[in-house]
Amino acid sequence: MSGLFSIFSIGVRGMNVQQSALEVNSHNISNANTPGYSRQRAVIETTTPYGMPSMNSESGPGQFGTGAQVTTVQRIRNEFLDYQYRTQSSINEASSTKDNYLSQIEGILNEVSGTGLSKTIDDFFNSWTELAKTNPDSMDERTVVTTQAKNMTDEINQKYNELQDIKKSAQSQIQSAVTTINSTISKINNLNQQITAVKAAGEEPNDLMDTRDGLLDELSKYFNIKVDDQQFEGINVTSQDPTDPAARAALGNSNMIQSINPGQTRTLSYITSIVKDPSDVSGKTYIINYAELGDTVSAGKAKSMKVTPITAAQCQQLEENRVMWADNSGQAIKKGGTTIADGDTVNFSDIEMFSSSQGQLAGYVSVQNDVDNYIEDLNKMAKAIALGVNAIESGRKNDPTNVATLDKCPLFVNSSTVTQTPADEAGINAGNITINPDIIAHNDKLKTRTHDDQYDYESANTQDDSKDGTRATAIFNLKNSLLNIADISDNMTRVDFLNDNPFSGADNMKIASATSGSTIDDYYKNIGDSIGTKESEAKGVAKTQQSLLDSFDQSREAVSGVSEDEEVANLVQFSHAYQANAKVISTISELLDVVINGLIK
Amino acid sequence: MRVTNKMLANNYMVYLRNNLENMQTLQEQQATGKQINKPSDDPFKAARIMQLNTDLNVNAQYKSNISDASDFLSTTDSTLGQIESIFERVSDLLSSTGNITYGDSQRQSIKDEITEHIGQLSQLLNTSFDGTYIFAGTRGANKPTGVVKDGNGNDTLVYLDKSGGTITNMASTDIQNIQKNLSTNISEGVTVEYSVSAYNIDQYGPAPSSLTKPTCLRDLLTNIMNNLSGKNGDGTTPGVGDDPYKCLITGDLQGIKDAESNILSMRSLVGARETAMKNASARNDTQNFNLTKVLSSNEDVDIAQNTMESNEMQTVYLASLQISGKILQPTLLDYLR
Repeated sequence: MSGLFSIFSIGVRGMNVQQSALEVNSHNISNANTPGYSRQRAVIETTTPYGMPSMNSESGPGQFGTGAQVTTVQRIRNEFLDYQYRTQSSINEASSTKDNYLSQIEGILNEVSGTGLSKTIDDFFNSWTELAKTNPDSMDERTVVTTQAKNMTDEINQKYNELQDIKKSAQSQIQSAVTTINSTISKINNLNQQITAVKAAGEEPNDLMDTRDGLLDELSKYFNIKVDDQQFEGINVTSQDPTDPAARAALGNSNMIQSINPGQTRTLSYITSIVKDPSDVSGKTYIINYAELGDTVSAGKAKSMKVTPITAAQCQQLEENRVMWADNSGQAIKKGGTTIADGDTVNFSDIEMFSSSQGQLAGYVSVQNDVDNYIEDLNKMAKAIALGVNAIESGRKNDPTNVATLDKCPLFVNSSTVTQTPADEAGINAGNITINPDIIAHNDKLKTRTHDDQYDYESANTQDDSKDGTRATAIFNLKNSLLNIADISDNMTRVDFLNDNPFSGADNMKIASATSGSTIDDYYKNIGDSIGTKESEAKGVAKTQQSLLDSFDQSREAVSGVSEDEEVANLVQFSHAYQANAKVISTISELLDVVINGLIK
Repeated sequence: MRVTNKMLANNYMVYLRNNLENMQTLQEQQATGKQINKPSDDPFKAARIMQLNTDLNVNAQYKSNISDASDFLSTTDSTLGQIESIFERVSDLLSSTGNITYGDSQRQSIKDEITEHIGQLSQLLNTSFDGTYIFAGTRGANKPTGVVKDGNGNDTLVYLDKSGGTITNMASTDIQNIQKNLSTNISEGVTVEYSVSAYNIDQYGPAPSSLTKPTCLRDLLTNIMNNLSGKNGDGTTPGVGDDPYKCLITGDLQGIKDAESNILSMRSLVGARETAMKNASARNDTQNFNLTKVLSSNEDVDIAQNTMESNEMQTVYLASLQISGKILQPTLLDYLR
């Protein structure tokens, strides 16, 4: 028997419980639209009943309950759904980045309208057959030819530059991603510490955990994260890659966020440039300049290191990737976990590149890879045009070991060199192809006649006469020749090209069609086709991934989201209960009045 | 499954986005009239369209080549016709010298007329079209023939070099270049010659020609002029057994007839080429038509179908807006007093 006063306190407890529940309820309602908020619930349990059996207790009806209490404020959240969402978010960001950039590239190389580079190349070749008709010696007709040629090279240069710009934009995005990742990591580290402190004290850090989860969602957009739960709701976060256990062991401690020793976590740094080391003539040493923590603005953050030996392909890999594992202050680390001091020399295999298979970073890297491939294809095509047309226009091999075969006045030249030697011609690519300014100024130097190949300069040919346009027709016919364009390499000379695609017929006016070759026009169209197919695929993938992400988001929302209707119903429920408890108190008060004032008059 | 108001709102946004995307695609198609505007819309079709555009472009160039060659050929044909009528007149004049009543004065007047004809012949051989001398082969920037007075004071037809002087060496590069005919591409891999050279008109019989045995027009005309003046064909004074006036109606007349039949065969060659050009032009037009048809079927939008689809899309859009409006608005609060 507890007495009326204990019933009193049951009532009071009841009111407090309902009031706390209402507090949690109103917190939910006010946060109904807060992004990343998970609904909370007051967990109400009975207080310990009294009347445990012992020697001294009375026998009688029991145990009597003593009321209710709010034991904890529970956060409704399913961690597996979070894991699903974050994994999918990384995949989604990777595919949508690819889609985005591929559609930009497609815009550059779009030929569907019929007015692009393909048409300009056609016009260039058509101008030669126009020239070959009745007036091959006419200055006006020749000006048309040189102008069309210059239009074509200008357009090729422009496309090359636009593709390079896309690469640069992807790289600058990588830099801003690195900065964002680093700042997010440091925020999460702080929250982590606060959360473990609160939990260790016995309370639930619900809202802090919501904030932390939101930041982890953000982080998962950039790369695929791996979250390990620790004591007191702390977490350790690192990236899923590298998956190979040996490679991961070589990283040493790879945690970006950890609950113990947060001062020893890893960060990311951004490579700003990679240049050849001028002091090493073999060309195998490169200097890597990087910005600690991706910060290119503050003083003292620019560091560098030397790498040797390194091949060109490895260099390209570094250029595309650009992100390195670094220690807490941003200094790069090498295998085993030791830091690399400013100016140190290391092996390529020592450098720890940060690579992720999903997320925006993966998207930017793959985009750069694609762009590099397309630039290479464009280079091959430009070189095919330059070497092929030069060969037929001059009818010469341009072999530096045989002076009689030198081309004294080539049509297509390399704009980045001052001279026009065969070695300079070998360096022609889509970015520097241009028309020989000598020919633009004096277009009578254009060779259009049958025996022009036997003379260094067109003016020396007295054998053929002015209306002979046979060579010009031959240049027009080059567009139907199948050439081995895919085999053209960066430093291929005209001699090598002609070995692959030899002259045929008299007077060096025709290049034999290779059985496995393609025409210049077809090769360029193939580039456009492959981009179209890739982008079409990427669009489809992006759409699918997005809808998958939406459905995972939906599941999370179903579990953790606030339903206003439900909260309002709870509101009604708790307020009635509150009123009922208050009624209990007033009833007991009346009873007490009876006992105190009514029993003895 | 638990459904919150936020989920309803999110779903609504997703569906709305999809609807608007579809409508945007249809709108783009209607506005441009083309089914695809970038290769990724339909890569396979895009590849076909690009190829067709190139083919049409090349075809247009061939059409231009064919038409220019046809113009050249028709000028050549009419000039050859005029040359032929000169030969007919000269042949009539030569036959008339057989009339026994003709004396020196008649022969002199015939000689004067033939002198005129020589000048005309040279002019016709120097016909130019579009800045090129049509009978001068690859040396078309300079006149091929001219008229000079020979040792006997008669006009003769000669070849001119680039500075206007007479060419005497038949093996010189000038003569070789005059003989080279002009050619052009009229379709892929097909090159045709479309010019005729003065040399072929001049050399009606087997080379080499000489004044004693003329097989070219220049030597023949010199023979005729000498014979009309009473000298032997090569300009020497007639000796015993030489009868220059008889030569006029035998050897000279035969020569002119041979030259005429040479011209006729040239004309039929040019005529055949003209017909070939006409056929090529007709083929080119058909090709152009077919390519355009295929291009249109790949590229162009069926306006009727597109309009229907966009109306459908609009209905769907309006329906989704309406229903979402009905679902999103009411909450429990509306019903609690």
